[in-house]
Parts: sequence; C-alpha cells; structure tokens
Amino acid sequence: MDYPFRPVVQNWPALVDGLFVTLQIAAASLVLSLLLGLVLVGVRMLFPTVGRWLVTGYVEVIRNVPPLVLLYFIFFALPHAGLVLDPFTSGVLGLTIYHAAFVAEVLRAGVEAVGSSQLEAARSLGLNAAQALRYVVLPQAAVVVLPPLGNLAISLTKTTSLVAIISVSDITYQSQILVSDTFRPFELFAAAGAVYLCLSLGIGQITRAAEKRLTAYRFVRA
Amino acid sequence: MSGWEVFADPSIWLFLLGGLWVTLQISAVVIVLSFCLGTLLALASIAPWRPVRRVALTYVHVVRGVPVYLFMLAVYFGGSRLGLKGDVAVSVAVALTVYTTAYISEIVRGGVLSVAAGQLEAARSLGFSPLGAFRYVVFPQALRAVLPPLINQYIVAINGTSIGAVIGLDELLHRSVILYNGHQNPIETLLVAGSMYFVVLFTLSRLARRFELSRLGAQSGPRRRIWWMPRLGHFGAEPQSHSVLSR
Repeated sequence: MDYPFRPVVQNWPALVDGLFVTLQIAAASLVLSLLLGLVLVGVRMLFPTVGRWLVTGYVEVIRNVPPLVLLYFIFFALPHAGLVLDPFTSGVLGLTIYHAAFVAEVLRAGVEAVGSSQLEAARSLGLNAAQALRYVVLPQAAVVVLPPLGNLAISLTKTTSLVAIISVSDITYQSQILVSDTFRPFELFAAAGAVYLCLSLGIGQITRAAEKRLTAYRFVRA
Repeated sequence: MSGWEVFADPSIWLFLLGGLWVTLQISAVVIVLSFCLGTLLALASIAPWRPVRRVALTYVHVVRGVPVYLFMLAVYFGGSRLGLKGDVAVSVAVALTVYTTAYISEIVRGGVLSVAAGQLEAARSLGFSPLGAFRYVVFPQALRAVLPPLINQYIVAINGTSIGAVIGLDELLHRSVILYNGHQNPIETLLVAGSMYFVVLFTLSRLARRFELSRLGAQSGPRRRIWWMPRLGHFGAEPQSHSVLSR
C-alpha cells in the first residue's frame, strides 16, 4: 500500500541517524568557531598592527570564497599535501574555518560597541579588572553580540548540509540516498527541510529567550 | 611544483574563465529575479490585508530555515520527476531565486519601514497616490539605505551557485574539478578557482562598504558623489563647496 510520505515513515531510523550526525557536526563546529573567533579577536586586539592586518586578511579572504570551495580544498586537495582527514573532521574543520571569520566580525563589533570608557569608568569606581569585565563590559557586549551570533548559529546549521557532498552521512546525505532508492524526492527532501526548519526555529527561540534574560535589567522597577 | 605547469597553457585559463562566466550569468539571473520578487514579497508583507501579510511572512520564515542545497536537490530531482526534463542551469537558478527572494524581501521590508512615516504622509499630502508615493518617495530612500545588505545577499547568492557544481552545473567549481581530476593537481586548481571567486566577491563587498550610509555621511551629504546614484535631497544634499569665504 502506498501513501504520501511512505519513504519517510518507513525509513525514519536512517533519517534520525542523519539528524544526530547533523547535530554533532553543527555543535562541534559552532563551539570551535566561537573559540577560533575569540582567538582571532584576541590576536587583533593584542597585536594592533600585525594582528589586525592578519585577522583582517583572514576575514576578508574567507568571507569572499564559497564555503564549498573551502570544503573541497580540505577534503580533496589536502591529501595531495599529505594530510588525509576523514569526512567528518574535514567537514567540522571547513565549517569552523568559514564561520570563525564571521564570529570574529561579530565579536569585534560587540567590543567596539561597548567602548573603552565603560571599562575606565568601572575601574575608577574601584572595581578591579576582572570585576569590571564581569559586571560592566561583558553584560553590555553580550546584548550586542547575541542576536547576530544566533543568526550565525542558524546559518551554520544550514551550511552543515554541504558536508553531505564530501560524504558525511548527515540528514541531507541520508535523504539523498533514500531518494535514489525510492525515487520520491519531494517527500524526503521536504522531511529533511522540515528538520532543518525546526532546528532553525529552535535556535531562534533560544536566542530570543537568552536576549530577554540579558536585557531583563532594563525592565526592572525600582 | 608540477601542478602549476598546467596553467602555462592559456586554454586552461579560458576554460576556467568560461566557468566563471557561467557563474556570473546564473547569478545575474538570480539577482534580477530575486530583487523583483523580493520587492513584491516585501510589499505583500507590509500590505494592509492581514492574510496577505501572513502568507508573505510564512514564506519568508520557512524558506530562511532550510538550506539552499536542499532546495537545489528538490528542484533538480523533483523537477525531473515532474517531467520538467531536469535542466541543471534552470534548476539552480530557480532554487537560488526561491531562496534569495526570502532574504531580499526581509531586507527591503526593513528598509521601507526605516523610512520615516512623515515622508509617506508628506508625499500623500502633495497629491501622490499611495503607490506613487511608494514608488517615487519611499522606495528610493529605502533602496539607498539597504544597498549594502542587498549586495551582501548577492554575495551569498553567488556563493550558492558553486553548490550547483554538485548536481552538474558547468560553472567554475565544476570545471576546476574536471581539471584537477585530469591533472591530479587539486591544490593548485582550487587555489586558482578560489582566487577567481575572491576577485569577484571582494569587489562586490568593497562596493557594499562604499554604500554604507555612515560612510556616505547621512547628515552632511556624501563625501564622494557616486555618479550613477540618483541624487536625493534626503541623503545626498550637495555639499556647499562654494562657501561665503571662497567668493
């Protein structure tokens, strides 16, 4: 008996396996790109000339080259230089290198938005450097940085679908395999698309909730 | 380095540049179509009728949550199943347009909403029809404000054409894969192809930078006049170069 979405219903374990791979790769590259972005901003601030030059170069190059070219380079070209990585590692590496550039830009904007006078004011009020950072600078920077970082997380989750091309068995890959088995492209790709949509909406909700919490002080009554 | 010797042959460069030309053609089609459709969708999303707004915003929110690669797969494999004879270029263009339209619509909507309400009221009180006021007063100002994010979205669209290589679109990345499979020099070939993308996209992102309002100087008039931009009283008042002193 045939019915709509039968290939989805019958093959749900494969799709769920793919979902877990997608989640793993998204989480790994999100954490790593946040760290790498943080390092980039740190280098930029600690070494005002050389660091700024290097980080700006990195950001401009990465932002203006398609992510797929980067993935191809890591997966197909690096083995010729003697560096063989498995598909999953290549995918995480490519996504990390790509999104760290965007993270660095967002964090830089956040730091610039707060400005140094806030730190100076906090220090002159007798807070030590760590306290000033913890209670004055970071809360303000977090509010600026959070919404664009949320968008970045959504974009990263969607970009993970490209790792299917280098044969990581994520949900896109699984649905492609099932399409070639069952010839039912619409239902399977719609199911995969719905999963990505739910992930995006979920990340959006989390970001909004965090934003609400971070800005709660604005609505506190005396 | 033996991998570079291949590039001594000018026909290799012509082969890759031909791929870049395909990339540019497809993205030009996508840019034009998605701008028109995106503007219509932006209008629908601020229309005075609630159901129209609902439909427009639902489209935007759904499309923005799904990867563009999935759209391409669905259009390409789904289209051939519907008997559309699966033309790769058309599939890629359709998928990218569907995707980009949603983003453009949000950008244009933001721009239109950022134009002060007084502008519309003033135009209406001068006798413009609602559509006329939009076309001649609100829209040009909105467009000027959203030009940088618009160009950035087009950079994303051009990036997206490279995904078409996977389903066999004969563009730059696809041609470089053909090339390095023959000559076994993926490092060199991908560096060359990446540089080609970089030249195009970097130029565009510089252009976007140039149009940022803060750089143009929203209050004091643009530092540099851009010759093909329509002059607008709101943003681009001519700087008073002949001051009292120079007379």
